Amino acid sequence: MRAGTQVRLLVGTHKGLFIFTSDAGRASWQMEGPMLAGWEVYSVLGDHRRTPRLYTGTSHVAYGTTIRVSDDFGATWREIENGPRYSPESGFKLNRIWQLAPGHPSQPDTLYAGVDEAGLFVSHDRGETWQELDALTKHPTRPDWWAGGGGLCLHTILIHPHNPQRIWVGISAVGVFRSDDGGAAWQSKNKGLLDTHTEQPAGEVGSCVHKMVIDRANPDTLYMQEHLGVYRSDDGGDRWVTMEEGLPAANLHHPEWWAFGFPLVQTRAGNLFLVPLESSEQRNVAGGDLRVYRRAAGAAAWEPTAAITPHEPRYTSVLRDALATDDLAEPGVYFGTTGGDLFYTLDEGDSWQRIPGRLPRIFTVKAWTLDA
Amino acid sequence: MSAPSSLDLSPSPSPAPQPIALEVRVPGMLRSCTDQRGRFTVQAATLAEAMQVLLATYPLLRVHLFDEQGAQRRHVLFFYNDQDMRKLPRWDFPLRPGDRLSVVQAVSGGATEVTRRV
Repeated sequence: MRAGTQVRLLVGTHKGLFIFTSDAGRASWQMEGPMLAGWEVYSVLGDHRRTPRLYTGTSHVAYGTTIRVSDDFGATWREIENGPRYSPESGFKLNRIWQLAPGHPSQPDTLYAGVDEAGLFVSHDRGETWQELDALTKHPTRPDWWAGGGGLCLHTILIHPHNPQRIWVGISAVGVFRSDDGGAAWQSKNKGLLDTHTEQPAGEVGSCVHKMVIDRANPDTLYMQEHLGVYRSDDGGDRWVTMEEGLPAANLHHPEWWAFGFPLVQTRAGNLFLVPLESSEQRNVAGGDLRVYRRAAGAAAWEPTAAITPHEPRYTSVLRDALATDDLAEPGVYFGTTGGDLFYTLDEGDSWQRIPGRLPRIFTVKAWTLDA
Repeated sequence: MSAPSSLDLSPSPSPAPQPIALEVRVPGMLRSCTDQRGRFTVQAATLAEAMQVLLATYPLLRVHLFDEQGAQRRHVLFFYNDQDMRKLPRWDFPLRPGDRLSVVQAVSGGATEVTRRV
């Protein structure tokens, strides 16, 4: 970490984007925003593979969805004219842009966008023009794709760190697909997952992945928060097994209550974090106890991290893209709630702090680390 | 005759009407597409031509007003003066001085003026 390092928390909400900036100490934060006021910001990306650029996926119930970029850290924004767009012949509608992900480091002009209705788009010119990777929406299982509560959304995009041709995507309530040729062809990767209770017949799709991450040390290992449990795969998604030891669902006397939750993140130290919710039906933290769980690298079970102070009931939730970590040597973990609060830890969950302010419903939190 | 179900840019009948400066209003959320202007004029002879000129001048508007199939978005309204343009059988009629084209978000705001029932 060099002197002058800045951390920016990019917080997309139901009503605009907020940016919180701090130095590497991360003791205090300066807020800017709302930017793009009135627009839903479901996705945000800070990308400095070339010159620093902010990307957002904005949407509105009346006015549709587009990508906007800023080259001055949010002071001014420019709407992309040739953004993701389904062809008229496809019959699909672009409802929201759920995820903006950078391409492999060897492809610094490449970005991916995951959208609702579920599909994947790619740009090879820093977001100026986009094309659908339509082998995914032409997959033979497409007639069996079924929307989850949040819509038929492609919300997770992972690129193998050593192989830019290997891409995973997660779609609710459909499952995982993997491509080994840069998106030209896709295979479903849902073996070992339970079938979600959609109205579709059980088959190779119908699992409701909520969030997925790649292990930082071994990119063949993936972790997943799914609608019906928490899983890992050690073979790139070919087979999934549960990893729910220590999660509160195992302590409940309600067999219909699964290890339900949405976000999942892994820090540089290899520790995993997630936020269990009471149930699929209620989708709030149990008993108003907002509690992050940690699975330390190599540990056999999850454990609750420190309570958030002051102790008070918080009947809230953390959405799938609202938990993040930064790239500093002593990583911070950050999350935003549906109640509009932001919390973070600098000691891997042994203590939590709240960033002052109450925002609109928080959809996404990303930590963007830049050296001045 | 039914209202146009998608963007109707059919040519105007002869003899060719004369262009006028048609006042256009757009809601605040879309002013980033119109150089931050909420009221401006476009030169057009017919309502259909006015919509064509509007989208040619401010192409970013198109994605916000029309969906992938070219249909007017469900929660977007166009008003020709006080008439909902969905209910107009055609748009290729001559404009008159003082006419106005307003883009309005349905139900939940966006209008700069409202009419009180008396």
